Amino acid sequence: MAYEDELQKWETEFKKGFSKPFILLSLAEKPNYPYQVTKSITGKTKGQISIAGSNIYPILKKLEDDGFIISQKDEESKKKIYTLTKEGENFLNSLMKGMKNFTDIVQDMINTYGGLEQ
Amino acid sequence: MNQLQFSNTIDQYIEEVSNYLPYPKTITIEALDELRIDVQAALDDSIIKSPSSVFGSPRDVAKNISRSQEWGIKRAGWIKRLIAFLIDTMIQFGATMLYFIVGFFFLLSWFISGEKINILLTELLSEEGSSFNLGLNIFEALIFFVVFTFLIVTSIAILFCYNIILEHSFSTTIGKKLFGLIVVDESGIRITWQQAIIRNLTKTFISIEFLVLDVILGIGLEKQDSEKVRKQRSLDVLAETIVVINK
Repeated sequence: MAYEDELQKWETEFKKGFSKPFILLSLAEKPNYPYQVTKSITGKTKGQISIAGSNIYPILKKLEDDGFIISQKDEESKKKIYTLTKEGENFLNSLMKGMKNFTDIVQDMINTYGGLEQ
Repeated sequence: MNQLQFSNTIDQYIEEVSNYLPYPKTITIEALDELRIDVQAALDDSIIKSPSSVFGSPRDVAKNISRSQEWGIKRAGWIKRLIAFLIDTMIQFGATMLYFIVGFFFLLSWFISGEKINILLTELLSEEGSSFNLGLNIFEALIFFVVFTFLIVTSIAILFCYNIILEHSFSTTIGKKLFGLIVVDESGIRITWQQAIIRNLTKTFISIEFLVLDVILGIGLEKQDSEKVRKQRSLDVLAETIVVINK
């Protein structure tokens, strides 16, 4: 049981860093309100990354303060819709390049290790 | 779940979250409306039965909302807090004295006639000391003793619990209210009983001499970590509470 717990802890640890980039990716695809953003991330990552409902609010606030997203209230639906800004788009492009390089390296290391077939 | 149950579940959840937020409704309404829309959408998806299973406990949600809105971040200065404390102390002692004196006279008038009270007071105030007989039988004397003990115990309780009860129930005291200050958890939500008791341990009338030490230790801790603007007494650090300027 301790083995399973430890494994889950490690997985949670490395997945944590993906929350913010995935929020930006989700908003790049479509401006949305908080619950739909978390839902789309959970769906796209097949449940691997799941931002617990209210945890998204401080993250959105931080991204808004950083100027990467803006929020606007839709008068008809009363929903607060978040949209990626131009600055956010540029930031996301740079981030994706870095992430791609990094995941390529990780992929290489996994391939070299080769222990997955065991 | 039908529409009415849906609506009740959402209202109850939002109300529970709201109870953790000690800020004016005009401030919290927008964030709570945003939460309501999200909870509504989650329930509409029919994947959940209770909002807590997706959004977390009302306490955790309140913490996240408070953090995201940055409500509890403007720390109150020492001077304002000191003046508020002095006002509170005066109110605390004034109220206790008033309660005790009024209670004592009610007690006397309940057991003794007005004429005897006058004689008793004269005796009590005379320099020779009192030898006045209240003229009570054993049963009356016993009740008198019980009620008098109750009066003393409740007077002490007022002195002990003034800060604890007010800070837990209203997030502020009369003195703090005058300066627009509130006591909140470090995450910006209402404090628990435990936090209220811990942070007020040096504010009871028998431990007040430790309050200065408590402040000095707090300032010392602040100097240790200059990046953090604490403005916390050491017991605030222990209870994880802060005094902030209300919105």
